[in-house]
Amino acid sequence: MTSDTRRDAIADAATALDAASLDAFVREHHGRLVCLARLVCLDSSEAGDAVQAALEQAWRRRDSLRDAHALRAWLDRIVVREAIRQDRQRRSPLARLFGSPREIPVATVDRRAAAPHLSMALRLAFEGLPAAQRVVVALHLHYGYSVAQTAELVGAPIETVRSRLRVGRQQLRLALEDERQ
Amino acid sequence: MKRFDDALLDATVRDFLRVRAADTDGIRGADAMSAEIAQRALGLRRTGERAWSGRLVWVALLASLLLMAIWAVLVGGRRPPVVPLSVGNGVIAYAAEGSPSDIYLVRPGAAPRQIVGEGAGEGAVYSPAAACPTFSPNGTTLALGAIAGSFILVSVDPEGEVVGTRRLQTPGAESPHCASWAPDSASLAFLDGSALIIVPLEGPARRIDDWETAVASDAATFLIDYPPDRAVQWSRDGSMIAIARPSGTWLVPVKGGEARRLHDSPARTLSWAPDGTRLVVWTPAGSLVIRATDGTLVATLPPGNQPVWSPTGSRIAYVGAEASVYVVGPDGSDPRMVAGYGYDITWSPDGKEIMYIHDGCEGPTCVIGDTTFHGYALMSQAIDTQGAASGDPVIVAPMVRIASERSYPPAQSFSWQPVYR
Repeated sequence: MTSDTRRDAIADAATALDAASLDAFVREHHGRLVCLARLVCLDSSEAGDAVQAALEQAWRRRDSLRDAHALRAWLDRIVVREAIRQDRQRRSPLARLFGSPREIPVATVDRRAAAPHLSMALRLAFEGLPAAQRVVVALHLHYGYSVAQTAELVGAPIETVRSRLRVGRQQLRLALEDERQ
Repeated sequence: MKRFDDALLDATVRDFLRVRAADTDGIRGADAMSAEIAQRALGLRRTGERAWSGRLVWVALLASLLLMAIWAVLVGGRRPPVVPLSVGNGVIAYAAEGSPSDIYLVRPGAAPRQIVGEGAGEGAVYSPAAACPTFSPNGTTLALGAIAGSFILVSVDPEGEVVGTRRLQTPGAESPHCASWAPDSASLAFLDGSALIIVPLEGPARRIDDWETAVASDAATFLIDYPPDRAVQWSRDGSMIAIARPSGTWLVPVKGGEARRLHDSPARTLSWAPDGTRLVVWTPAGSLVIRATDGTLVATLPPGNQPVWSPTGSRIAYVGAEASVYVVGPDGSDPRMVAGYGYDITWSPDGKEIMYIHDGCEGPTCVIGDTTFHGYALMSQAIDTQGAASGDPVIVAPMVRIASERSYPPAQSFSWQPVYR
C-alpha cells in the first residue's frame, strides 16, 4: 500500500466516522426541531428546509459550542433564525412575483362559515401573524421559554419580544372571540 | 360573546400549538436529511456536481440581480413616498391602496405607519382586513369596520401610538360597516340596509328596522350608494340620529319613539351645524340648509355636492363646479374655491384646515410640488378665517384608497383624530 493509498483510506475512514456521527446527530434532533420549525413555518416544505439548513449549520460549527448542555437551545436558535429567514425570503418581492401564492385569509371570506372549528380559526389567525410574532408565541407558550430566553433565542431585545407576544396574543384572542360568537 | 382572559387564551393556544407541532406530515425524514447534509458537509458529492452547483449559484445570483433591477424600475416607484406632514393637529387614519385591508396612521412630521394589512408586520393591530377608519369624537378610539359585521376598536394615544385593541360585535350583516360615533364616544351607529343599528361600547346593541315609515312607494332610489358614514350623523346632544335616505332626511330618536321626516327631497349625505340647529343636506335639488326642528329651508348653497359643516360653524365646504373644493357661508354667501379636484371633504378638528381626496391627475403619475405619486392622494389645505385658502395644499398621504370606485371597503377613506380628551 503506497502512502497515498494509505492516506486515502484513512480519510475515507474518517469520513465514514463523520458520516455515522452526523447521522446520529441528525436522528437525535430531527424530531424536536421539525416540530419547532412546523410552528414557525407556514408549510412543511419550508419547515423541512429550515431544519435541514439549521442541522447542517450546526454540524459545521459544532466545535464552536463550548457547553454541551447548551446544545438544545443553540439548535433551537439556529432553527428559529433559519425559519424566520426563510419566511422573509418568501415575502420578498421576487419570491412573491415568481413564487406560488399562498392562500391568505381575507375579509370577504366568512370565517365562521369557512372555519367551523375553533382550531381552524386559530390556525388562520396564527398563520396570519408575522413570523417574528409566531415564533415568540410558540417559544413562550409551547416550549416554555421565558421572555428573556425567547429574546436570546430570536436575537431581539426583551421589550421587543414582550411587544410581539402582546400583539400576537391580541390577534389570537380576537380570532377566538370572533369564533365564539 | 365569550371573553378570553389571559389564562384561558394561553391554555387554548397551547392546545392548538401542541396539535400543530405534532403535524409533521410532508417534512423530510431524518434519513433523507442526513444523506443530503452528508453530501454537502462531508464532500460526498462528486466534484463535477459541485462545480456545476457553483456555476448555477452564480447564474442564479446574476439573474436575481437583473430581475431585482427590473422590479425596482417597474414597481419600486409605486411605493408611497414618505411625506412629512404639516397639518395642524391630530393623527390621521386612512385606507391605502394595496390589499383591501391596508390601514395607516400618520401624524405631522412622521412617515405613515401601517397598522392593518399584510405589510403591517409587528405594527399590526388586526388582520386580515378592515375598512372605514373612523375616530371617536373624544379622539381616543379608532373604529375599523371588520369581518362578520364587527368593529375593531383601536385605542390610540395622542401621539398616535396604538395602546390596545378590542372587537365589538354587532347584529349587522357580515360585510364591514362604517361607524358613525355618538358625541359621547360611547356608541356607534350605522345603516344595515334600511335598518338602523346602534351599538353601545358596553351593553347590548339595538336594531331599529321600521323607522322609515310613511314612505311613498315611488320614493327615489340612487344609482350610486353614497358613503353611509356621511348619511348617518348623530346630533350634538346625542338624542337624535339624522339619516339621509332616498325617501328624504330623517331624524330618529335614539331612546325610542317615532322617526320624523324633516325634508322629503331625496338625500345623499348630510352634516349637522355645530350648534345643532341646522343641517346641510345634499339632494338632487342642490345642497340645502334646513332647520333641525321642522325642516324649514333656510338656504340653498351654490351648485355642488357633499357639503360638510366646519367645526366652527361659520363655513361649509363642498365639492363645486369642475370638482373643485369650495368653502361658503352657511347662508350661501361668499363662495371661494380653495382647492382643485377633490372630494370626500373633512374639516380638521379645529376648523382651520380641510382634507380631501385629490384625483386631478391624468395618467398614471401625479406630481404635486416636488412629490410624484400614483393614484389618489389625501391632501390638506389650510383655510383662513375668511374661508379662503391659505398657503399651498399639502400631501398628507399618496395612494389612498377611495370610496367611489370600489365595492369594498364600502366608504370612508380617512379620519382625522379629534383633539384628545
